[in-house]
Amino acid sequence: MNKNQSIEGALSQNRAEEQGNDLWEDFVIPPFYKKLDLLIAKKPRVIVGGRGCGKTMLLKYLSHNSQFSPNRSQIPSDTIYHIGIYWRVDTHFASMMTKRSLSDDTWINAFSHLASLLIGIEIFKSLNTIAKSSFEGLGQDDINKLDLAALRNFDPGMPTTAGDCERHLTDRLWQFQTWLNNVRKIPDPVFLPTSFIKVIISQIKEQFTVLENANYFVYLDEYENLLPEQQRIVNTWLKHSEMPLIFNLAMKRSSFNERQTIGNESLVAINDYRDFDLEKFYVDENAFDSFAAEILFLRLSKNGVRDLPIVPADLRDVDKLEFRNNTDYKTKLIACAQKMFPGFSQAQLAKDVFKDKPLKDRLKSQISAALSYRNSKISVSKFMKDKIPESVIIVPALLYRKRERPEDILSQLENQLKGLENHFTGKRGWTHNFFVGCLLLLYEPLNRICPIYSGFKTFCQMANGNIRYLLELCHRSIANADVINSNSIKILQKHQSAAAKQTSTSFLGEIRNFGRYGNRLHTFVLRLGGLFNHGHRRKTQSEPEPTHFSIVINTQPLSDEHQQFLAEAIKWSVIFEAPSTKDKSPLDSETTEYILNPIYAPYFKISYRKGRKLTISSQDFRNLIDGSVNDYERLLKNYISKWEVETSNGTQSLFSELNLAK
Amino acid sequence: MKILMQQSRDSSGLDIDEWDIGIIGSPLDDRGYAATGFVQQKVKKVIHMTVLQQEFRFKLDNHTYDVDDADEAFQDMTGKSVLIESTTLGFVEILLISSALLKSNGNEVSYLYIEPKEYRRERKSLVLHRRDFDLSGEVPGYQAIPGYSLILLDNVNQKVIFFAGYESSRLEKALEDCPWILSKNASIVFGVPAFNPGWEIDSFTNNIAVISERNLTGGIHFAGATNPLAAYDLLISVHNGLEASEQLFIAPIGTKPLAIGIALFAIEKDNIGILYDHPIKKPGRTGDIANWHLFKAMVK
Repeated sequence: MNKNQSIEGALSQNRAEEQGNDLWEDFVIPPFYKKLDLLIAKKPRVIVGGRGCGKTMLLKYLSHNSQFSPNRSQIPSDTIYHIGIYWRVDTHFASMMTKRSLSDDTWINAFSHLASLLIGIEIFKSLNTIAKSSFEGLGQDDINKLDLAALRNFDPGMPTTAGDCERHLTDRLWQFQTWLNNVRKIPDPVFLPTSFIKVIISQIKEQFTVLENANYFVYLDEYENLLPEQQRIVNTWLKHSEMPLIFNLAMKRSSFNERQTIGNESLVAINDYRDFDLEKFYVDENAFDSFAAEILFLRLSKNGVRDLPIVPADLRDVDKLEFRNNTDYKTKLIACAQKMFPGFSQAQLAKDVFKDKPLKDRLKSQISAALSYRNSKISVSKFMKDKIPESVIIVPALLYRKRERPEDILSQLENQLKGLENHFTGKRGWTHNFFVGCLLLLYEPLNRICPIYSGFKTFCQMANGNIRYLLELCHRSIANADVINSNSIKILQKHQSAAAKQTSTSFLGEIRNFGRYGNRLHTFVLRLGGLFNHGHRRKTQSEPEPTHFSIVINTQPLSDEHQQFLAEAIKWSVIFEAPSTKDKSPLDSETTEYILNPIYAPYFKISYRKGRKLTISSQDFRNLIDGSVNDYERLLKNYISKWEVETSNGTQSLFSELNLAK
Repeated sequence: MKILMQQSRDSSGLDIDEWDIGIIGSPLDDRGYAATGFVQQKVKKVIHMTVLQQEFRFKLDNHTYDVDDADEAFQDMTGKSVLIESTTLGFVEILLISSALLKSNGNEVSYLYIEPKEYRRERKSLVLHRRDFDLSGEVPGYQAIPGYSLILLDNVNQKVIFFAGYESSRLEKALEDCPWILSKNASIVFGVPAFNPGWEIDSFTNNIAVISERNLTGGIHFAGATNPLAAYDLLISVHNGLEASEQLFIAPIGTKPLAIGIALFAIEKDNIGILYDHPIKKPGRTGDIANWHLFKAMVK
């Protein structure tokens, strides 16, 4: 393997599931870790976050396999206060634990039995993990002496030693599997209640002085995939959690819909649990970029890249969190990441347009067409001011605005050139407001990727709290680079932009797997992205860079089904929900904005920034979700006509198959 | 199991028996209507079957049964000649019927299948999505079929075989929903030769990205897309090579004839895990009709 492949390989595994159970050396403690209070918590925790934000990594880090990792050279004695058990239910298998003419009680007992078996087995495994670790005071000989005769109260056939008990529980798991497949042909087994787990724990605590203060924390991942009746069982365990056995949950956003227990009680936040939204921490603490850089550097350092601004051991040391939160340190991290993945400044992007003949020619022809539209006799060359290319790039959009006279626009350009007060860089902020939209429009018909999608900070914005997206953007960028010097990684912007397009396309395809509505969500994103793409192609660039929308509830309110669809889109992070920053008209009564996940921006050739809001009617929203292709064509045509978008440029676009002729 | 196969451009070219009972599903496209029309003409009694997956129940005409009671539900058909219309019936239906009727030596069941002339492609975009197909609507996801479901844990010694079709999202979703599948133990079976020369390219292209991204290194196999015997034989040879502790999981997400081969294998062996995502098929998902197939399975 050459260096390039080795560095690339460092980033290719970006799912927690691919990394095994012991993450001690791979985990970077998130900056908000202390706020989670996980290691000293006495109440259950509900951890919420979108796909790829690091939930599973965190849970696996808290599990015994990582905390008592053979790679951890010194394990503090208080680590046994918190022994984590990671549990992701095989929901495919568990899905048949319902109905089938068996009583609800039978299924409650069966699901509790499955939990008791799996958690019981894992507790025995945790003893072995601890014994093999550098933690002092518990050896294999001690485990062999553990007397578990008390468990015979639950199962007379239960052996008395830990190793035999673990094997017995595994055998019972296979017996349970056979019963579950043949519930009519085989009598019900004797189900183990969850109190069985408590007795295992009490025996361990009683017989091992070193573990007398041990507590077990079960981390149940992907809670949202359980059946509602199974969620109610888990809720009951959560509600009645007490030391030394605490149940905790992790799930996607907007999916904690079932709060009932199997009794008459329901779960109440704060009283019964505390919830944490991981992505909210990234936003509130402005922490994502530096945290992502640390993860990137840790991966690279493990694959031989030197001179990185991190000390790997510090990243897994809770005591170093304060240091890692230091502004100088964070600035250094971002600077180094930005050096590896440099972006272009707006000025550089503009200069490059003037150096690139096809782009410069297209700019000239845009200006020429706009001048003709305004019946202006001013020559194109008068606008082509090489010294202020950023401003020239937005000239076509300004020329299409009937309120601005071509002579005045030219005069403003000349004022800027002379260093006088002007609308481009002055209070009206023309360049600031319209540059990105105009640059995208310049690249749109050319079969080239706009370089705005490069730079580490841009990658962070496109990843939007999703570590997996960020690593994949970096991974593909490195893969695109021809040669990499491992001591001085620097990826060209064109390779990064190409990576952004590839990553965007790949993650767009993944939407089909997002739950039962995956195919519909995929269609919705293609349609919404298509609409935004046309919004970016408005000649005037009024309302530039539309990347989010709100829904006007006029005559037809959204049905329950459409509300559910919206919730599903938020759950899978296809769109993000945000309170509306401003309502533009009395009709715009909705107070929520929905932002298209910026990872899809390169695919649709649109801005990854939160630009202007598009207000759509509830009818248009319904058409985006499940209107026919003809409905969608009609919808696009309406907007194209309203926005005066040029569609017949002769090039094949993302939407060539649609009939959008006026 | 003995599997006989015949193929013809139309129904007149098939050497057909008389059947006592024909079991059909709901037609969604041209071939479905042709197939159910054929069954209605050629059998003495037609029964309509629907699976209610979320309920773990199924309906035979107006009678509803638990999936666990399939043997009883089909009891009256034992000893009679039965034609299963597999173009309109789904994998679960085929598995349940075959399992109930092919229990004893000498029992036999026939399966009718009609190839489509074309599959519906999405009219979303020409440039980047020309290999996308619009075949499934909502996909409830991977849910167990009682009798054929094994628990997956990361320490389960496993071999997983995916029979791949056009929709790579079905393969990807299996890997997403079942993270315990170890990529080194997962192999893919492509339907080659395909229904039409060149169609296999769509399947390769759509699935190759998943195979590569997920690093599925268990091997690539081929079985004729219209050949249930090839699927059956392949699975027998894999099964013969399993280690004592190894469990076999099969995902029938490819063509229907291959799914028939998988069902026939699964009912013959113990402890086979089926991974299936129960897609809700879209009406009009294919256009026109191509070759007709008649398969006969007999218990030897």
